Amino acid sequence: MNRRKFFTNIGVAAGTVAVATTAKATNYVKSKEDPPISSVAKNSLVPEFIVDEKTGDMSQTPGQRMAFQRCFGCFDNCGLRIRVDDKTDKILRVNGNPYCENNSGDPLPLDMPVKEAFKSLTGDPGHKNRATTCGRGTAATDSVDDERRITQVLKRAGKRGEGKWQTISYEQALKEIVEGGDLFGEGKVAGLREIRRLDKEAAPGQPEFGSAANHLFATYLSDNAPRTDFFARFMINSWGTQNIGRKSAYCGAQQRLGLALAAVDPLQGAWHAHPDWKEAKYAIFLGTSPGNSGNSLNSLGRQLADARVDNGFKYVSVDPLLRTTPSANTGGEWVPIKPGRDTPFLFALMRLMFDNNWINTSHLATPNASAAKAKGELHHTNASHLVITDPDHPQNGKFLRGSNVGLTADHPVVIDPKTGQITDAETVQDGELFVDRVVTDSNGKSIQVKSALAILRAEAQRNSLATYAEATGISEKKLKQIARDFSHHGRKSSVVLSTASSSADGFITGWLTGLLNTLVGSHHARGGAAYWLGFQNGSRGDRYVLNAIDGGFKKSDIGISASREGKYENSTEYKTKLANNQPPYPAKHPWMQIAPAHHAGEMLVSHANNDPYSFRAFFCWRNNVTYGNSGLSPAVINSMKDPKQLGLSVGIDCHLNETTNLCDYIIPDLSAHEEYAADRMWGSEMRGFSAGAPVVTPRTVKDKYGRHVCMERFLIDIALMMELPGFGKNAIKAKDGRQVDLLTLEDWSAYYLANAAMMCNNLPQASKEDMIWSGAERAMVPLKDKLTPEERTAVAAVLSRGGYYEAQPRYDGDFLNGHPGRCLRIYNEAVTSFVHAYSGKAYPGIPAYQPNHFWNGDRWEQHWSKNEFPLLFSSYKSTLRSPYSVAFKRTAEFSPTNYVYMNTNTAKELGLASGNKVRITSPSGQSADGELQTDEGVVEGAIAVSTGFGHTRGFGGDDRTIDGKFIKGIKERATGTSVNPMLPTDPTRSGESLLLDYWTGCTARHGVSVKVTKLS
Amino acid sequence: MINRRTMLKALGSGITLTLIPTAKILASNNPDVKNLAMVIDVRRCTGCLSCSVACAIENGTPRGMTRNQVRQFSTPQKDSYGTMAIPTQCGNCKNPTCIEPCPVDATDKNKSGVVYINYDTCIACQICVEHCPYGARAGDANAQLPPEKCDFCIARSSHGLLPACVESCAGHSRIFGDLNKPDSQIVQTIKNNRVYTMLESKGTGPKIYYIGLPETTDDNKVLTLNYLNWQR
Repeated sequence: MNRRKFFTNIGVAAGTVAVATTAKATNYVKSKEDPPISSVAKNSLVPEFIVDEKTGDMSQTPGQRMAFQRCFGCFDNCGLRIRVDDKTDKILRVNGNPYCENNSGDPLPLDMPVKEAFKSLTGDPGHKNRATTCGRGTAATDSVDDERRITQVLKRAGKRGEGKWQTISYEQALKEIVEGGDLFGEGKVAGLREIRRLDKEAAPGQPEFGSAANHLFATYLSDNAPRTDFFARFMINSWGTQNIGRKSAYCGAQQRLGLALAAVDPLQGAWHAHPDWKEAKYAIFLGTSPGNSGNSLNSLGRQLADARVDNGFKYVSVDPLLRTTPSANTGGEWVPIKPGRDTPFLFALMRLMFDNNWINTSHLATPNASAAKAKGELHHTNASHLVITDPDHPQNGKFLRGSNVGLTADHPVVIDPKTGQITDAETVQDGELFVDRVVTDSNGKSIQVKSALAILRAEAQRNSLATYAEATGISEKKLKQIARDFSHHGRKSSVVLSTASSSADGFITGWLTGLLNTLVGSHHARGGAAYWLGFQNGSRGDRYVLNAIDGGFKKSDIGISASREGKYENSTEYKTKLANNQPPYPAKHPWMQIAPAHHAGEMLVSHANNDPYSFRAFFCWRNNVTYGNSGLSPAVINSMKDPKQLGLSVGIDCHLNETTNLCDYIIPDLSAHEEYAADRMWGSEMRGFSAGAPVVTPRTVKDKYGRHVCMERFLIDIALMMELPGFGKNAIKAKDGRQVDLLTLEDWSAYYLANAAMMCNNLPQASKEDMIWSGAERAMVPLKDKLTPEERTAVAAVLSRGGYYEAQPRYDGDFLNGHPGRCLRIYNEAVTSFVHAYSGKAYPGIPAYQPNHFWNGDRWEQHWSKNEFPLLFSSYKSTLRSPYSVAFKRTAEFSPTNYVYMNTNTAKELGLASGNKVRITSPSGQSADGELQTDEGVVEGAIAVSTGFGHTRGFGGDDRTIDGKFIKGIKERATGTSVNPMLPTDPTRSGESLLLDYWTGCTARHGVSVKVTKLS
Repeated sequence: MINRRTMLKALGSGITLTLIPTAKILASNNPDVKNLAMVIDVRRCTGCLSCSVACAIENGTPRGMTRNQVRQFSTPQKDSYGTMAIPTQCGNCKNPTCIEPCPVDATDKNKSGVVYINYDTCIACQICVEHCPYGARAGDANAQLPPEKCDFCIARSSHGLLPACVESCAGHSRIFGDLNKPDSQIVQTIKNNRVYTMLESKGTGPKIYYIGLPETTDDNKVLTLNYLNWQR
């Protein structure tokens, strides 16, 4: 019977078949021969390998090749093994790199031959050796050949943001961008050559803002070091702009900077903890749930599964939204918390631990490195160090030092518990932990002092448990249970967070997590709070000088950014006020002195306010600040659209996005699988980096010399046209004394990979067979002639394994291996040297509890009426979504839309029901529409909405016209709600503003007040 | 394709699942032929959806006609709520109900115990879709495309490779293999754990064996959850 006959016989038209379900199981007897596999696996891929079941031999499928790369499904830099069809040069499917910890959790040794490694992924052993990519990374298979990818050079053919484009030659774009002219029939546009005026001040009369070269504002991707470093080298070292913005400051940098204060001074980096999964017994996940985001979902998934199934791991996810991994049948528990109230939650735990003495006193009392060594500790702490707490003392807030009390050495001092005497902190085994007394200095004067831990305890105990319970919505009983569990698992316990704690006190939230881990002694402890080992960027290697330019600029040469990432006290504004006998505080605008996080959003706010100046040109490479940074007002967006305020804007990317859609030109760029890569992996406990080379031919248009257009090509050509330093013939110094050329993407990538590879200690020997099976043979073709024989061998070895993953013992005694001991800071003395630019007060040396407040110190509630805006807002990242993922077909299929999640009871109170179309409105008046979904998995009185949706203006969700041809947006890509543009600004700041973390100036977005109204 | 808009509580109050005795699973132990099957330990599933995406790409399934879903829902716990993530797909049943109704004999079971669709003979009538009590055959509402169902990635598993969902399972939730191989990981896992199947009472004998499912799981409800509603 054929199809036609069947439908005729049953008397219906195709498409209306309705057959009653009469499912009935009977014992099955097989009746016929099996059909050929090709008839069954009709649309399936041909497998990459064939294993002979009898001999066990494995062969590669003719016509397919394998290649290693690094993943860009998100920013975690996991490894990839990629199947490519030789004939079509298309990627068939991506999967994980078995040598890379981020794909496997338990990777194969680097000295295992590549063929053997691939074979170990098959059959029964394949279970143990699984090397996975998560849903995001897997879906990125489609990215190279996406139907809406930009591969041609585009110039706008209408107004900015209208979506009308014409294709032009690369050379025309280059000439117009550098030389300017009447480019759009709207009057003269200044080109780059005219804009880069080193002899003029960016903000006349305010020399701290550097030269007019700062009128070029650039935003960029912050991960994938070879390309990022290239871009930054051009912008900072060659061109000389400080305005190079990225996402960290609107993603969650405040928490990571705060966490770091528990271990280092300000400006010494950011930290990001995760549990030591192999031995962890308990963890608190704040604003996240394990395996959802933050670090690699592959290694997280594997480690979480092992921990909760095999190791009896207990964990709580303290989060406004119940997400996937507090699984009902494991040791996981969801504890609902009000959005933006993470700080009072942590203070509650801290208070309970002090009240009940649930702290690791032996660890905390260890006052110096030699005492730590003697006790078998990795770190010591300054918990017992005495701090001057005398407002009239000139050194109030600083440590009491030997010089204050007549001791020889000028170290901090402690009370020796054996003698009760003031003693040099470097000379005793223990210090008294709780001290609050008056001491006599060497001049006989009395000084009030407290130990660091006593100050912290006083702050934690300043508010009652009831206050913290009310703020968080978590009962006192539950808070006690969590504090007990956290502190009673010894050092195999940790509290960790993700970017979803970005409230106006996110810095304090991060700092508290660091301190709580110190209180139980879990930093770097077996089972405790673990940290990545990372790897040096290749640009810091010594084979080629890549991070400095002779005749170019250093970061310190070019002034501060337009977003005021510097010290207010060095500013013209401050000095002028002092000279005029005016009070210097408050400053007119926020100054981000302890966190120069390259805040792209705040740079745009400065531009919109024309204070200190407006930009004249904008370059946006692989960044989408207008989508990702919450609360950029329509006026800020308009300041980017108006050619009078911003003369020239250039997007460089493989897709249009909400930001590049506002540009004048689009320079097509490489997609992730077409580029060179080498970067440390988020969350990896092995030292190393994932790496890769283009696995297919770039799809971008070529220049007149036949070279593919990409970011590097474009910037090199600009540099050559303008004779900027650091590019061209003999532009780079090699270690052996040679001067080498920087004329192509391959030049840079070869030097970068050589620098990275030569920093590796234990590279494998790449055999001929390894080179073929790994794709490294092909990858080395454009690179090999640029390298010395020694470098060539090293780079080939790295590419043959898709990176470098150093095998070391995981532990050294009771601690994770490879981490230096340090002084953990209960009290951070260095931060007290900074002054808040509004209040004029010094930063506190310990985290202070102050509910969410604006830049001027007003509480949020003073401006946002609870009656009008009764709900608290939170956002999160859903499992499949990441910045580029909307353009992956399978992402749209399995993650078709987001919802406005609300608790069922809250919805009832508001007269709303699941399925309603609703509008979310913030106190700034901006709104976003979406579909309500209700269940019990949301804290009451709040909403939670995923980011990564509502892309109506990019990634193919946008309508566009190119060369007069209208291309309708793909509706599946535009679905859902985009929440960031709706979020509120700060009504206490002047002009356009963002809502900021009070201490760091990073964007705040959680816990803000909103209202939800029914549309239909 | 089953597609319900509302989210259901899929854990019932009483015991609904029936333990499958190991001896029953391994009864037809015949070393000369394969009997392919899969174990899914739901405690290890983190809902990353890599399996669904990898399956769709490997098998080129048309949009929306997925062979493999992860059904997720919230469920009451002692103090609050928890989640369950339960991957579902065709069980390649011992006694399949979907073969006999096919008017053109395009679907059958092969010698390794895999229920297949022969795409060269299938007429896309969708009758088999309606005969699967699990909703595991994704049908085409317009009756233009042949149904999609899991065949354990027959092209891969016939050549010694793991199915796409298994090799991409980040939490090591999935184990695939031959029930007739006593030393295989799947047989050892089944022997050492309490295993369940969905809709045991139907007598179909699906060969997707679950570990870690609460006994109170209401399998009927799980199978009717809209897997796209959980976007967290």
